[in-house]
Amino acid sequence: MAGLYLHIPFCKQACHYCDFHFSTSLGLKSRLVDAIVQEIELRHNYLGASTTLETIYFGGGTPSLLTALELSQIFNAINRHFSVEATAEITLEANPDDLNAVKLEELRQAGINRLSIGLQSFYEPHLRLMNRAHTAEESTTAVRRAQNAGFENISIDLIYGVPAPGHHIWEADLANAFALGVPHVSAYALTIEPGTAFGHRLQKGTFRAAPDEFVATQFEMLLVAMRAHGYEQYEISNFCQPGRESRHNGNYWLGVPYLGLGPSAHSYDGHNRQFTLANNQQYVAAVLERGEVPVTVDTLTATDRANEYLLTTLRTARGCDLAHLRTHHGLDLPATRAAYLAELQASGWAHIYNETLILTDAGKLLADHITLELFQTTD
Amino acid sequence: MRLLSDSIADESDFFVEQIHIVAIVIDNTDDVTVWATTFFDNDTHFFHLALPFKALDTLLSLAHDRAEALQEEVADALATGDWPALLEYNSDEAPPVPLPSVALKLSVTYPAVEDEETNGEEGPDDPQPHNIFYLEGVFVRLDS
Repeated sequence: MAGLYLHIPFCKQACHYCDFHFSTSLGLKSRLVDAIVQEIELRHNYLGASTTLETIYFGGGTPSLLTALELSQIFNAINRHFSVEATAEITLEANPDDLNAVKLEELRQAGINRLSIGLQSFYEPHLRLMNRAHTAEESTTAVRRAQNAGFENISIDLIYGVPAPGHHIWEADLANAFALGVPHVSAYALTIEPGTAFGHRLQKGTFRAAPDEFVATQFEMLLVAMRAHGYEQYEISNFCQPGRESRHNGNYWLGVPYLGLGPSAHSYDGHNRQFTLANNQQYVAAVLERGEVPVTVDTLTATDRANEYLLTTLRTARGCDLAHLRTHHGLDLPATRAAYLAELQASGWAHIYNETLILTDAGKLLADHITLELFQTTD
Repeated sequence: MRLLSDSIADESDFFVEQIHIVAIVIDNTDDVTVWATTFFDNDTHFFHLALPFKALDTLLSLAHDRAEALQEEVADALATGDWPALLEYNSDEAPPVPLPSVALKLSVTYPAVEDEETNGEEGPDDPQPHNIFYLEGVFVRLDS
């Protein structure tokens, strides 16, 4: 089993927080779809000769900008070169303003069976602050419309830690999200990355990030509210009703191989990673004119693999299997980091149960710090 | 111009129409304060309106062609984290914001009675209402 990721690097406008690879110039879109189709021809053996796809994920950027014809071109190529499991999870990230009745029907006809809708907020000034293309009203109507069109498997994205004098806006956002009754919610803290519009505004002094305590409080509110509404936190930023995890993302964390198509996409064959050049024009030219995909191979050392296992598993509710880490990656944390593991437990940041290291709620707030502390630096 | 609190009949909830927003005050609380005027009995009445951010969003969305700009201005005020922030709409460059066809249902508030002020004694029997009102509802008149 394996997964397929397709990066659609186009957006109508640039969200002020986003540091993913995208372009607001849509002129190259149809050529880029041609290139992705060609990339499927060139790289379908990356996952092995007769791979069955368990998940397909259209991410971006804004994949909901793809037309019915473009989706059909891509699916035809996928079906030519891969077996797709009958119950495959096929997700497409969508912006609310794209999800009209016609678009929803096109997506359904194309075979999309899961939508990940980037709502981010239900509060208009916050949407304007983040430069989202949709309105607060569309945050709600898009989901309702998708549900009415027959999409039951829906995830919504929310962002917390957006500057505000208090927490009422976030509280209202959560209430609005629960009212939609979707089975999956991804909630991310607003981070200010260099090179983004927020990054520039921060430098100019026209934007001030919310203090860490403010963000931490909203994360705690999120955990409490999610539990109260029956959602499980299966990964730090991901919540679902029982049994409704994202299979695609879950496979990333389990180390299942996947092929990433399109500029800036990453791939993993179970041993090494590859990442594709993050430049639309150069990607299209290389694939369509020279018949080659501009990828860089990242050869993973034993240390890299151990660190990746730590990084991905510590973020999940299942935690990090210390026995697996020892037998498969040669890293015996209880032997080498006994003092730090004891400190984590004494501080209430983690517990170890059945040889599995699991972060507590307090520990999840410090997940990045704890992971870095446990990272190995040499082979 | 008169204070709205000087013109109310009793402490029941009541409606105001012909509203103009003249300022939005964002301070360090979860609520926001709007300074506004309403016109009745041939006079303009000034009042403060305390409301949650979400309700402010609703009010601004009813400001027709100025709605988007107002929401951008609130967004910018939130972005700086420099609170309290005062957004004024009471000049030629930024005139008062009309809310056409909108009626607001308001409730009366009273000043908090501090223990120190009363010295342990009971507060006044008939306290004077604040000129700060809570927003109880937003109603839009539909054209027939």
